[in-house]
Amino acid sequence: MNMAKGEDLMGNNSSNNNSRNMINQMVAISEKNQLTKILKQNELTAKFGLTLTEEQALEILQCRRMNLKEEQRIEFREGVIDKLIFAFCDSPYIYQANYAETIEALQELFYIYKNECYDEITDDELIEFMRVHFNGDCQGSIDFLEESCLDMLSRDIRSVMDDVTVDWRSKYEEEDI
Amino acid sequence: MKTEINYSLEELLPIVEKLSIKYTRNESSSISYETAEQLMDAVCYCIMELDTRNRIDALEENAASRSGFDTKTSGAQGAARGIMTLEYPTAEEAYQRGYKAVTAKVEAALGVYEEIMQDFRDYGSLAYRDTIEKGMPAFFNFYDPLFAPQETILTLDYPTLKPLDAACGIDLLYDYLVAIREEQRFLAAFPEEMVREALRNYHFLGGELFINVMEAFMGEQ
Repeated sequence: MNMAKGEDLMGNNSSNNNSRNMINQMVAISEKNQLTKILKQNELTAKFGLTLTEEQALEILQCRRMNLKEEQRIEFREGVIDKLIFAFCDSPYIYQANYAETIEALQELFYIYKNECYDEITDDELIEFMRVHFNGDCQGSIDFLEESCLDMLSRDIRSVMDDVTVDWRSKYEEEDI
Repeated sequence: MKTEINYSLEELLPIVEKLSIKYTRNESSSISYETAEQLMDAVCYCIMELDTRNRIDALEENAASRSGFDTKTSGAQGAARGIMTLEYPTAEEAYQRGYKAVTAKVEAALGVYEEIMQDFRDYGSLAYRDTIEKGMPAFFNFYDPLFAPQETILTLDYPTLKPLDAACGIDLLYDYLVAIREEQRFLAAFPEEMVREALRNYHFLGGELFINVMEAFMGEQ
């Protein structure tokens, strides 16, 4: 890789294509062990009557790649799929027939709202927030989760970002996140 | 000065990955493109800092041995050592050493700044005063050698007599401060009121313009 000092990595010159390739490679590298990890989660989720086939796991991974690209994010490590599966596998609103598609949808929401919250919220906090509301006031509705709860959370975070004296977390303390 | 780094993407990515873990405090598995670019730039900057430093060291060493200032090494030995310092380490080693070189340069820049501030005179130039007295402390407060060593932070409104070669970051700031130190040393040889007068004669709004005091002073002589 030859790059002049001070040159913008995603600049307006020919380095642009190199940067795009770099990002694609980054995403590809992080997917190496994903499939095995997701399928291994079946041992846990089977207790709740939920399993993913290899085909479904691959589809989730494909969606992940697409979501990351759309949201312009890079994930180096294993990602959040196994965390999402772990957090949502005991949900009363998820059953075998909607399991894969719900995980896909939750994953998409996760990446969208990581950006919408300007990375001010950690992975665990966001997943916990989603879990509490999905199982609570949303009653398993992905649309409601997105349009009401997550939207409100992101607006709250953005509104207090400039004011360092306000901690947005204090508002959500009662909701156990 | 334009330099290049010769490491493949596969060698650089693990460093960026480690840096991203530090950046997110291991609390986020993903980062935005902008952050990834920033971290990649940070890694490249540190590696190139080492490269630049090595070349300067090697050149200085060779020059010293040729001119006989370095009594410890003969010319051939000095050249050999120069070549040795130009050998490329692994990307990780280069980054670590480059990062140390960057932090050392920050310390050096701070030393130069403290030297300037011992007897700093702005000669009535607002841009000079603001850049040195207000801007520089802010730079040293906010400069981040780990995640954004390539950021210059300041706009450096007060111009130096000669344009600086360094592109950005601490390289630019260091060169800038060295140029300012030389300028202060030169101007200190003259009575302060004489320099102020020259600035006023250069332009009636001389103190408010973004012009180099030394340039104005020399122009008046």
